[in-house]
Amino acid sequence: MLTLRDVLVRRGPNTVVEALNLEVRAGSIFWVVGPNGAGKTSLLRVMAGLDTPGAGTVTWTSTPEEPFLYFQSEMAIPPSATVGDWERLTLRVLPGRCDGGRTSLWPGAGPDRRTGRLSTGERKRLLLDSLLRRPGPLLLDEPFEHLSPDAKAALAEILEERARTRVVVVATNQATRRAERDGGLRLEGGVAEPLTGERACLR
Amino acid sequence: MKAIARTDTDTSRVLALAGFALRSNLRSAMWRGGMVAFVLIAGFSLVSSWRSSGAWSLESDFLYFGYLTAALFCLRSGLAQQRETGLLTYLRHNFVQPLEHAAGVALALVGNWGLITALLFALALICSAGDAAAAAWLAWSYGLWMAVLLPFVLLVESVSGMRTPLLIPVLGYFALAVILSGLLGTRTMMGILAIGGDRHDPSAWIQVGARGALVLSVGLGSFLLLTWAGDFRRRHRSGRTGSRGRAAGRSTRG
Repeated sequence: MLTLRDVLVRRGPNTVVEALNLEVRAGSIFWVVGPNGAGKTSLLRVMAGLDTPGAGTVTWTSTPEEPFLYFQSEMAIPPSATVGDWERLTLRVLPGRCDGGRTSLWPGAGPDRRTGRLSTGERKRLLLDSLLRRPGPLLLDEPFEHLSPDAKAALAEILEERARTRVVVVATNQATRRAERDGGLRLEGGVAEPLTGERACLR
Repeated sequence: MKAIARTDTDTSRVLALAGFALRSNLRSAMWRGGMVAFVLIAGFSLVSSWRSSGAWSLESDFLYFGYLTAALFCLRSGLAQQRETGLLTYLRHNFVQPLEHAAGVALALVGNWGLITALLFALALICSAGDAAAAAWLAWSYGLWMAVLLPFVLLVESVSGMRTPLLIPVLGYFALAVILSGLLGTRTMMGILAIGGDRHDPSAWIQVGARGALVLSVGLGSFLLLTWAGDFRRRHRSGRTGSRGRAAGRSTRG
């Protein structure tokens, strides 16, 4: 479970959201929706512990074996690295109990292919594939950006499956029917409002 | 609130990170350019020496310039690139401890340095027509001079995205040499900075080696210690009891 109590999130001198009280549980994906510049990334960084909130507390309840995982859309592999380099690294740093097999997100590519020659979407799929091989709660910032429709569908399926038993928070600038159905938070103009959804977890 | 539960450092992960960073660097255009420049300068040195005196001289500076040029283009740990692409956060948050990552990139940098210095030895061996002792002295003295600058390369990469992170330490080094030379005289300056020395004198080998090894180990150790301290502070800041309210923010992991 992820709990935010009276959290104040700032981006530079601007207040993104204040006095935010939130509980996120497993069951379905928790969506953070808002236009560009609304502060979704700032909020997720606070949730991930990468930035300290200006006030309030952020608490994760998770097991040591399954720490929460974080991904941001801008993350990238050095272009001179090959797919083979990356896969070798991933397999060596994945914890022993994790399934080393690929997810449906990454169909594979020649090991000598430079990641710099992959498309943006392909590079992203490679990173997400490595991440999703680990079990654990997820914090994903714009994971669907740059993905093809089939990759989006595959990712959505994986996330929905994961969200049944673990906390999954996804930030996106597009409110979809799925987001409206699952519920979450809309950030805009310094105000956080609940998305209509089955789960009322924003207080 | 640190995502990775384990606090022990795994050597295999460090080696994997080092291998990844080193391979990424070796495949880069700048690495290839640096190596080509090194070989060309060494070739020029050889041709120039043969034309003037019929043999290559150990005193020739061109091999040193070639080594320095190669290092300027090639010497990188990958830390800056990983930071700028967000890969640093991705790896440290999801897969490895910050200390493991720091050790990995430091090891990659040392490996990088080792490869460039090995090429120096090989080129010196060719230029000297097989004089292994002369080649070894060049590689030893120039290599351990360069080793002194490695911690500063990591420092530059920690704060800047410069593609040639060695440039700042080299400029700093030469500025220091000029200042020391002005204050203490050239001979004293060369002694302090371990420049020169007689390759036939075993104590010169020991002096150069000791100085280089000491600065390298202290510098790299400081880098790792700072990384560990930063991570320690981050982890334990999350467990600190503090006043709630607008003045203090807190992240905790239950």
